[in-house]
Amino acid sequence: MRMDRQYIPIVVLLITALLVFGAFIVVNLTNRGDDGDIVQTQEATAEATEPVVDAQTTDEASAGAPGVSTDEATGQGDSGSESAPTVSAVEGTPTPTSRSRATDSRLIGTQVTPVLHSTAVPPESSGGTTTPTSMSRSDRSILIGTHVTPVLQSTTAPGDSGGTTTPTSLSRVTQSIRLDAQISATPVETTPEATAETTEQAQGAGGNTAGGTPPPADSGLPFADRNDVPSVLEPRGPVAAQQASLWWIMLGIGSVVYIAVMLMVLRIVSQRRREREYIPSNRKVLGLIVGGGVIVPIIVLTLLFVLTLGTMAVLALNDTPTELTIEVVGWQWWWEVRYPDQGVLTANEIHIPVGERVRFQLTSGDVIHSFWVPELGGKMDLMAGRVNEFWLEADRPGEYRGQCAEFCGRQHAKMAILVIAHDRADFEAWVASQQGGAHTPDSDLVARGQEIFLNSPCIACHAVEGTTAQGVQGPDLTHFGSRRTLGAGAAPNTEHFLAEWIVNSQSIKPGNLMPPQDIAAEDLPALIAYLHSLE
Amino acid sequence: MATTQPIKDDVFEYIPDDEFEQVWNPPPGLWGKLKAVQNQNIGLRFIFTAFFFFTLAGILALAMRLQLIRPENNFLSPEIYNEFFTMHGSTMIFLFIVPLAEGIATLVLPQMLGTRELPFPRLTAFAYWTFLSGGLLFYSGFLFNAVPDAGWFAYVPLSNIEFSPDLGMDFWLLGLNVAEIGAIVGATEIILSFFKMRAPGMSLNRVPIFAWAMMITAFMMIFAFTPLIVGSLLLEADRKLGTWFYRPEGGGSVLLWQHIFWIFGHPDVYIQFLPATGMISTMIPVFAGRRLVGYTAIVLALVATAFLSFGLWVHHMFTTGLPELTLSFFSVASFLVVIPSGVQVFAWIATMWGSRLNLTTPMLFALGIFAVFVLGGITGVMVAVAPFDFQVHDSYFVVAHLHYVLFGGSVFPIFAGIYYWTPKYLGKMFSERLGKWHFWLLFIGFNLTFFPMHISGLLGMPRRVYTYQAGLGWDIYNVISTVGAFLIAAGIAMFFYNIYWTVRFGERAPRNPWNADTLEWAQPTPTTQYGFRILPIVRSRHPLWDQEDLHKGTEQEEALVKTLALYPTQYRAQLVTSALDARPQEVIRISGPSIWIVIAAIGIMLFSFFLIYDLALPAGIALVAFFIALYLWRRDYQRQPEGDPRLAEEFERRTGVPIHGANNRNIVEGAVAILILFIAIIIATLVFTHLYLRVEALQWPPAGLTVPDPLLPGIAIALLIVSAVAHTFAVPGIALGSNGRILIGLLIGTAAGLGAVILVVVHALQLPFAATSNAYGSSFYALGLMPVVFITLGSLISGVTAFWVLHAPPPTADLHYVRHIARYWYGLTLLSLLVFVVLYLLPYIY
Repeated sequence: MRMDRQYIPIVVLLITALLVFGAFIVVNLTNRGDDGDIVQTQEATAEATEPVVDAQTTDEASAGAPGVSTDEATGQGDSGSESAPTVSAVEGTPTPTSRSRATDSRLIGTQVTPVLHSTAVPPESSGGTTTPTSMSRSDRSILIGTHVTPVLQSTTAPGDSGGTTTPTSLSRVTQSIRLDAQISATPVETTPEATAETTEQAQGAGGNTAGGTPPPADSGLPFADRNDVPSVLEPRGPVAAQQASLWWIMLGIGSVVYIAVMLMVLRIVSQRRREREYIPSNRKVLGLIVGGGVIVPIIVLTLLFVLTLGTMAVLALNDTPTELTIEVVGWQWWWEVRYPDQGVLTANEIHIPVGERVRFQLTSGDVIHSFWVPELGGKMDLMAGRVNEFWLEADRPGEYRGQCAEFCGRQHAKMAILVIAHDRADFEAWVASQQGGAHTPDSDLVARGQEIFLNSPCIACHAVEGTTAQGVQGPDLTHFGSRRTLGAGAAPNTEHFLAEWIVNSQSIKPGNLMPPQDIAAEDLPALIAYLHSLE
Repeated sequence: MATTQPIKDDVFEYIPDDEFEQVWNPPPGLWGKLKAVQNQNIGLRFIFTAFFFFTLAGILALAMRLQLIRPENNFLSPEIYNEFFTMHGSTMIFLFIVPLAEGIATLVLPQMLGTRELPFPRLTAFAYWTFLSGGLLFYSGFLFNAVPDAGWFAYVPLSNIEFSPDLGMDFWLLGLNVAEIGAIVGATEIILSFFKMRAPGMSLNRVPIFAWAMMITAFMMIFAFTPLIVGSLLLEADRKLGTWFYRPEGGGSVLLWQHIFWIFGHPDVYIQFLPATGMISTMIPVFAGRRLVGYTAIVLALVATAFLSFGLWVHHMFTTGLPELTLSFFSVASFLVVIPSGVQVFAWIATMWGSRLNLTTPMLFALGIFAVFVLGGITGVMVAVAPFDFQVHDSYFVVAHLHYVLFGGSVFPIFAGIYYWTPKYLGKMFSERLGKWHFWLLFIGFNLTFFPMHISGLLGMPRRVYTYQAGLGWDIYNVISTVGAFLIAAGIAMFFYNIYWTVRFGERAPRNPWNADTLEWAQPTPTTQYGFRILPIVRSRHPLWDQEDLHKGTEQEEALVKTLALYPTQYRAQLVTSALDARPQEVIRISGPSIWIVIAAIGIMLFSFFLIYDLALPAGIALVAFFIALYLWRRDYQRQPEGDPRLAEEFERRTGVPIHGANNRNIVEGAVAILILFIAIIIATLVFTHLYLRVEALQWPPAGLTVPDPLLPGIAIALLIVSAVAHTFAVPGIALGSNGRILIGLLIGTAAGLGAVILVVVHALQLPFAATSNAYGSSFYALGLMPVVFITLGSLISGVTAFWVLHAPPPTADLHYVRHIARYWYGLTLLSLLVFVVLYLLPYIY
């Protein structure tokens, strides 16, 4: 027992250090818990969001003023007092304020009866284009453990004169809805096209009908969808297809090699009880080492190298004709997206035409990020002071989820990007919708919202074209209403989440750079209406 | 305890083994333990401490797995999650596998090579104490609420001052630097031990594979860790002093850090892997009862791996937008490393082929490597294919791959090694039953944890995310991984319990329980601190299998080992042998216990700590304390008695080997060579930095600046040449016995060196730009002043030596090390010339 006496001091030292370490972890955890906005415990979240809910409910209870309350979904139709934000824009304007809104409620522990609204927009749309993206939206709650059943509203423009309304987004909505939840679906008006596609999608998803069943309460965020895994192995474009085929080839070769080695080892192990040893001849040994260690690898690796060069030649940007160039700037923790030739500026969403090679020019405004949309192709880093280029292409319409792949700080996990591939015509329609200036207020509520916005601290970081808001730190909000998510995919862009995001975005995406805003509860609906009017 | 037969002798007095051991044992009491330096003490401490850090990092990993068990979980906040994964990765890389391998080598190597100790026991202890204090400094971030959270790779700009303004990164950079000093110091020991301290007759072709692997690893450590230390100091300068190395706004480069980091980082993978393969190559022949097939091929494979590993760092940077040609080149380079690994794997298979394998716990772990590491190697080839890597880079696929390589390729074999050597170094047999539980829990848990990560990575899950959304198809794989992680934890717990059980209840181990072939098994169990009193004489690659009597050799060898057992016994005597064929060269006195080592290590830790908090004065005091401790450590060693010169003469007459005591010739020579190598790598890293920034810059020097006037630095170079010549003048003084000549040479050399330092400092003060002006200035100052640091150090050494010569003139023969001082100056002069050319002349050419 010389050993234990000799090492008592060091063992004691180390155990003490271990205990101290453990204690400090515990202390640290609890300390930070006090901050509330850092540790995202349920209590903390609940606490942080409480004011919103409180304000709204009180508001509604006392004044009957509508807001993003829990009853909004059910009460939307009849809560139409003078400043009802949700019905403000129904009349006579093609501007898509009538865009459907799927609201969800998040009263903890409350079951809300879902209702499906569908509103038809009069087919007079002057511009001839109804922006498809604005058609419908479905959301979910992000609060785990609350039983919230969101509502799907879907609005379409039947017989739309512009004829460009292809319901990619609609079908997507349906697709993105969990079909296993319990809800009575009410029919929804769709264009025949839409119905067809929707049904198709829906069948793929388990045969439920279009029009939607909402997701169960615990199913996080907008792109979350069982049927839509951002998988490298289900390529949706030529780049990803090349890379996926590389994978399958290498998987095949790798499996053969692995199984061969394992068989040898298993044979050796299984033969160990033999009476007599078998001593392989030198020739065999040499053959094994040279063959297995040198010749086979050289053959396999040469093959792989040829494949590598071949694939790299295909993926090379040099000779690739690209019509569309998109600049992506990474920021902590969102994406700025520019179409230099089209003069479009947006964030966290990239719209591309199907079947065309798109040149991406990537750079960063701060730390290193990495742009990765697995279904379309491999990634490329974004670095300050450098511009990296590559191309991607989608070969069918759809929404493809991407995510920052290079660790970029506290909210690296919630830095998603959505690539939406349209047919050429839809893409052009989208570009057109983004090219114009900001929507001018067309109702009292929206006008009031604009006033609140322009007098708030928001404008220090955000810009809306044609107004005094010219901040550059945050995403440009000129066409904010047309975007699907908040905080780079952290939450769906609904009234409810927008309210929470404005009041305290830290509860949704702790550590993001937008500080909590002190907006009076009664101003919130107008502000939200304004922001959502910016399509 | 086995005792050697008393040897009758008419000149040298025989002292019994326990008295002999007194010289080698650490002094009694707690204080004595603190001062201990023997390789076996320090080796076990290394292993214990590494497992301590492993436990911490493991706890962090469990917490992370709990957080990821379901989508949108709230167990850890993003901030804490990021801190945890940073600490987990950094700990496993810097404070677990590398020190563990180093610890095992420290513990085993001297006995395996048939000798008594490592060449510089105090340096061994210093390596340990810097490792421990660096690790604790790194972890003390938890005490000061400044935990690093920029990842173990610490990519700029995220880790730079703008985006990580708190002190966490400073704890990371400086804490790990202190630990890395320990790694480099330990590597020096291993290299010198391998080349210069082997049993007589153990020529290079008879050295056990494990020793080969450790020697190669040690070289890689010096080549890899040094750039990292330099790179981290530059980052620290960016953070604390406002330089611009990594900040593009001032002409710096974000990619520069990645290059420097991966020049370290990729070889580091093999630094962790090679010791493990060395262990496997040691164990497989033992448990198969066969000689290792392809000894030479394996040694060549190890060397090839080491060389190749420095040429493929860019495959960690495939997605940074490098040119296609670069990508293809590094794809191929990465492929090539398959070949040496393949050769090793098939040599092992060939060794086991048809044998009656003894499936003990260590062998189970050794077999585990086939199932696990081979898979990691295959996925490694996949990620070396650049276009495929575009997809899986920074996804969970890579997390799976790296754990298969590092856990499978390093941790499994290391567990095998620990079980294998436990009977010798703990003196007890471990429990086979617990060992098998340990293996199967770990093996199943490991595969359960990491295999699904391949799939979640292919399904698009990126790394380093603290949470993920539901419904992306990743949920179930994360659940499986978390369950697996707890199985791993259970396996590790089984291991700890087994060690406890062994120490408490284990049966006393026989001398050679596995019937192994290497020399450490020839020792009594439990081992003695002095290793071999009578050194073995090696005639075979497998001495314990082939040699009936380990003490049979030529007459002269037999006389040597016998006499060495008798004299010198008043101090720790150690035989130095020639590098190639292990001919005895000299007997030296190696250093004994000292408290100054601990104080030096604490000094350098406190220095770093005060730097983190910008406390200049205390930092200065700590640095001075460090240097004083170094000085006392050396003086303390020199002042010990050398013994009767007549006995030494008699010893030399009988054995033909001189006794040099503290004034050894050969070891210090090697150490100085490694020191010069270390300085050269530092300078080379800075030259790389300078040229890299130059290549990226549009205009160099930046607009408004011209290349500074080379007059003063040119004179400084001339003075350095004078200094080198003066030292050359001093060296023959040793042979001539002329203290005066040595003194004159040293004094002129010192004066010239100091003159050069003053000139360069004056020149620096006149420069029209500062280190904080732009990246050019930063890099100019760093590169220009780095030699000055070493010149100052050299002047200090020469000056102090001159002082010794002047005041207490020792016998001239003891001044042998002046030769080494002269070599230091040659190296320094050449490197300074290189710096001069790069800074002042190159801009005119390119």
